[in-house]
Amino acid sequence: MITCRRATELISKELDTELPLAQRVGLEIHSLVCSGCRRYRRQLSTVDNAVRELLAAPASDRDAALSAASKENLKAALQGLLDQEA
Amino acid sequence: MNRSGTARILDPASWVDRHGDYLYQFALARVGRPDSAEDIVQQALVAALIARHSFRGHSSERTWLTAILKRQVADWLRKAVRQRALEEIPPDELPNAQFTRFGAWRQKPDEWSSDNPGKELFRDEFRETLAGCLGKLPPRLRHVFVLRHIDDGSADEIRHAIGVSATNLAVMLHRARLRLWHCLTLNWFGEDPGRL
Repeated sequence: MITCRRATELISKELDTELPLAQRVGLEIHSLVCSGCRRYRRQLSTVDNAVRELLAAPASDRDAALSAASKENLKAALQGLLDQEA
Repeated sequence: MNRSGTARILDPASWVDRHGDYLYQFALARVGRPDSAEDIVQQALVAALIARHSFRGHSSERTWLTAILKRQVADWLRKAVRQRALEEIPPDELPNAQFTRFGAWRQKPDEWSSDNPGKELFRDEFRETLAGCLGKLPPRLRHVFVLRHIDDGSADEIRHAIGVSATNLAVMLHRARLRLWHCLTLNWFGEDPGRL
């Protein structure tokens, strides 16, 4: 029987790759008898989906802004490239 | 598709004013460093300017710029991780705090009290909490974890791109997830995993 600690490693791993048969069986058997790891497994997939959603969304910190100086630099850089092309 | 049916024309001279802060926020949320976020925005806008003739007007200007920015962000993250790929992963105390030396939970995970972060009411607050937890991850774990979740590539492709072994990638992702889970359990779902 695998430990809970080992189970949490496999629960993470299965989010990234298909587990080898022996590991999959080990995790399923452990999950049958361990309510804590069953919850962790469910909650971790909630976390993973939420992170994916968060990172697909625009931005979380809407107060962050480029400084005026950076904006001027950026504009100058872009204008320079445009002028070169012209 | 744009509604007028005519191809949209890009206006690079106005990009900084119209999209600069948006792109900066986008980059900052993913790389976590203001100076790097600024550099990435600059690189993305320069790349966009050079590639602007390939713009077909199928998406908005902002969407198009964001797609270019996304690639620059992923490049930056890959590079940041790759530069330290050969370093040992430092020991992490969190798993030891969560498990006994026999590998059992010290405190079994509880049901999350408000188990539905999708609820409209909580959405923004939940996002903020999640972003805060993400920000608390050690930089290298955060970089790898973010890369895994913005890239469409498989874990295998990512580990080749950043030059770490499959084992090390699995260890880093596991640690990042355990930390995030712990942080959300404490700060959002209101259950202290250490409480009796």
